[in-house]
Formats: sequence, structure tokens, C-alpha cells
Amino acid sequence: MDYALEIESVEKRYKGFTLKDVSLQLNQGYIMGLIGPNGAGKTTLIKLILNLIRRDGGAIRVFGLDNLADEAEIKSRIGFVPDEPRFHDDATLESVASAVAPYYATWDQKRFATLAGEFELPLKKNFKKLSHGTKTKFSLALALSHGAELVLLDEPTTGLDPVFRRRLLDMLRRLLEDERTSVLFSSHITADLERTADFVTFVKDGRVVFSNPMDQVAQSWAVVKGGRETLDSDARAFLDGVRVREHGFEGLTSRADEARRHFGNGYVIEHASLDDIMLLFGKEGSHDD
Amino acid sequence: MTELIRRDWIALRRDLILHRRTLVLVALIYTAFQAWFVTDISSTTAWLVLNCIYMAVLTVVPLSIDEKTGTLPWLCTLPVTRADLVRGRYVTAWALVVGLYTVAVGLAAFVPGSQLSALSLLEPDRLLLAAGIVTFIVALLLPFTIRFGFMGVLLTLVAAQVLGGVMLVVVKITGGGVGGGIASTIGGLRHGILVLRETLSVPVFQLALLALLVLINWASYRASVALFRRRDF
Repeated sequence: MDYALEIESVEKRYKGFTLKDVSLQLNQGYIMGLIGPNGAGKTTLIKLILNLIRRDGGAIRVFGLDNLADEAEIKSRIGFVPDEPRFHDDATLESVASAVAPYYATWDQKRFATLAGEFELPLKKNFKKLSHGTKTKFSLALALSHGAELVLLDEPTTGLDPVFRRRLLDMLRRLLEDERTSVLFSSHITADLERTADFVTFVKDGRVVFSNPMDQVAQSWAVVKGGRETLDSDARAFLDGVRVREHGFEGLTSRADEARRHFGNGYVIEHASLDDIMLLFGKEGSHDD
Repeated sequence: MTELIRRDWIALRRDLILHRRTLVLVALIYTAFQAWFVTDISSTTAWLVLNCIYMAVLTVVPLSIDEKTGTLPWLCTLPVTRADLVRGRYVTAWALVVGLYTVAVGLAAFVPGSQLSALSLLEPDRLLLAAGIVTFIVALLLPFTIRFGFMGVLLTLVAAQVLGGVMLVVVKITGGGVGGGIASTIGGLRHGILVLRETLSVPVFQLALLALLVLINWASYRASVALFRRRDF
């Protein structure tokens, strides 16, 4: 299997936060969603791939190449959209694109012009005069105009209107038609990922909880609901997270099939959405919350 | 080599495009200032020293704007290494110096009442002196600016001020002994350069000096790369 991205036991230590033993693999031609609460380490992971921050351990390979030793080669094949795009305030979009184009041997000016038209980008306007959404669209146009084989998107849908969000997701799907392009898409809007991702990686407190195909996540994770009196130690031991409310509890399990056998009458077992997983995983449920 | 030149050209082109507005402003202010300067100063050497200090300090402008606007992380996502980015900074800095010096020579030649001879500003010795002063300042300023942003410029200038202050105090305390020592060191250095120039033929001396300046720039560039690689965004 050819991997677009392989991350092996990567570590990054900050004061008060450590990204620890992170491993994942993204196959070529697929979309991977990266989910996790704020501060979980999603952006740190993307920055490590791009060598914007130095890692303290582990290895990162992009298209089989080391991301430090072959930095320039790798980056020429990556398109990146940050959560908060920043370009020179007083430069027009046209001039930023003109400055960027020579960096990429595969820059496609026609494609850029098409995307700029499709995104209704005001090319003559200075960057600082744009809204957050338009800045993201511009960043996306740059990222998709040089035939990138790996597209890294860090919370790209934040600040975009629902119509464009849907268009963006469709566009990502279309990108994959060549079976060559891969996408790593970090987002806390999990509905976007449920619609598009083939794989999901869940990061929490600097650790990877799971990195699995989307259908496997859908099959194996479930939400168990029941009355408060039914939440005994046996039930708690089975759950990966629990939220206790006034009239009952909601628990998360990664063993959906077993849960159906384990919990009898008096419980409701439902399919867990990515939102449920993010919300409930690791919750102690000792108080009403 | 061709690939290196290509990458440096792309970096220079990028800075010229993205910093166009600032560079035009800098050039206008510099031109206005120099137009007055060339009519007011008659000593070519004094003009050269002041002008080179002025030009060298201006070289950090594009870099400090990248810091201010927070665009450095974006530059680091482009398909280049950190070393390429740093080298681009040196190329832009020297391109700016050459451009500004050319403007100054033009002003010396054409501004009515100019007290400086444009031709004398293009003599090899004077060009080498200019390159030497600029090298000294750029080699000191850029590594700190690349690592710490505009704060690096301030730190360097403050450190120079503090060093000067400390030296004055020491000179005062020691009754001029240290001051004499510094003066004699500078005098010795000057004498050494003159002896070297007499010993070697002029072209060989000039080439040796040029090589030394290139070496200092290279050492500064390597230091900047090492510092920039340690920077997280």
C-alpha cells in the first residue's frame, strides 16, 4: 500500500502540553478527518508535518520521503490551508499569487484563474480588506492550483457559509477522482467529516485515541442511554466515557456489538456520531454536566 | 548552482512584489534624505560611513514587516528549506543596498550643488569600504532579526548602546587607560591593513578583502540558518 502520509510515534513537548506517541497512516487517494477538542493537538500535528515546529521524537514521511531531509520536495507536493490564513496585508491577491507561482514547477495559472472565478475572489483587493471566509477561499485557491498530491486543511470550514462549505466538500471529493490526491482535514465541525472522510483520526490530550476507516468507526462506536439508577460500576467499566444528567446517563462505548449483548432491557443503544465521540470520550460523569 | 540562483531570484522577486509598497516608500524617503545629504556633506568618507549605516539598517525592513504581519509561518510552508528562506533574506538585503547605493551615486552626479563626486563613490576602495561597513552591520543585525524579529534589531541596538555606555564608564574609571587601548587597537588594525595593502599588490589586496567580506556574510548566513531552524511557528 502506498501511503501519502505516515506518522510514526511522533512527540512534541511543550510546557503544559505534550503530543505523545502519535502514529497514523493515510493511504493515497483518501480523505482523513482529524477530529478532537480545542487544544487536543490537531494543529500541532499539521505543523509538525510541514516542519513549522520541530519534533522531539518519531518520524514523519510524506510520499515515503522524510519530511525534514526532503522538505522542499515534499512541500512542492503539498497544498496547505491554515485555520487563519495570513498573507501580506498591503498586497493584492493577484500579487500574492504572482509571488507564489514560481515556487511550484507545476503551478497552473488557468486553474488558479478558474478557482478565483468560482470562489468570486476579488483579485485586485488588498488581503487585509477581505473577510475571514474570503481569506480561506483564497488560501484554498492557492493550495489547489499546483496539482498538490496531499492537501492539508486545518479547520478550513470555520467562518465559511454553509453553501460554500458544501461546495468545498464536493470539491474535495472531486479532487480524489484522480486516485492520486489525498486529504488530511482537521475540523471540529464533524458533520463535514461524516460527509466526506474515508478515515477518521481522533486526537485527545495529545494522544491518538483511534485512527480508523469511517465505516469501522460507525460500526464499533455506540451511545448507551439509560436511567441513572442503572449506571452501576459494571456499566461504568464498560464505557469509554459517560455523561450523567438529571434523568439518566449517556455513555460511549467502542464495543457496539458487545454493548448490545451486555446491556439488556432498560437501555437504549444508538449509533454514535463523531460529535458524540468527541463529546463523551473520557468523560467521568461524576456530576451532572 | 543554477538551482540556487533560481531559488534566490524567486525569493528576491517575491520580496519585491509583496513589499513593493514599503520598498517604494523607503526609496522615496531615502532619495529625499540623500538629495539633501549630498549637498550638505563634502567629505566623501564621512558621507560613505553615514550612508552605509543608514542603508544597512534599512535592510531589515522587509523582514520586520513579515514579522509584524505574521507571514513568516506561511513563507515556511512554501517549497523551500529554512536555509533557502534565510539566503533569500540576505539576497534581498544586498539587492536593497545595491539599489540604494545606485540611487545615491545618481543623486551625487545630478543634484545641483552636490559636493560629492559620483565617480569617487565608484572607486574600488570606496566600494570596498562601503561593502565592509554594510557587511559588519548586516552580519550582526540579520541573525538576530531572523531569530527574534524586530525585537532582534532593538536588542542589537540596545546591546550596542549598553556596550558603549559600559566602555565610557570603564574609560572614566581607569582614567582613559582602556580608551587608549581601544584607540590603539583600532590604530593597529588600520596600520595592519595599510601594511597588508603595501605588501600585496592593490588588486590582490582588494580581492583578499572582498573574500573576507564574503566569508563574514557566509558565516552570518550560517548563524542565521542555525537560529532560524530553531524557531517554531
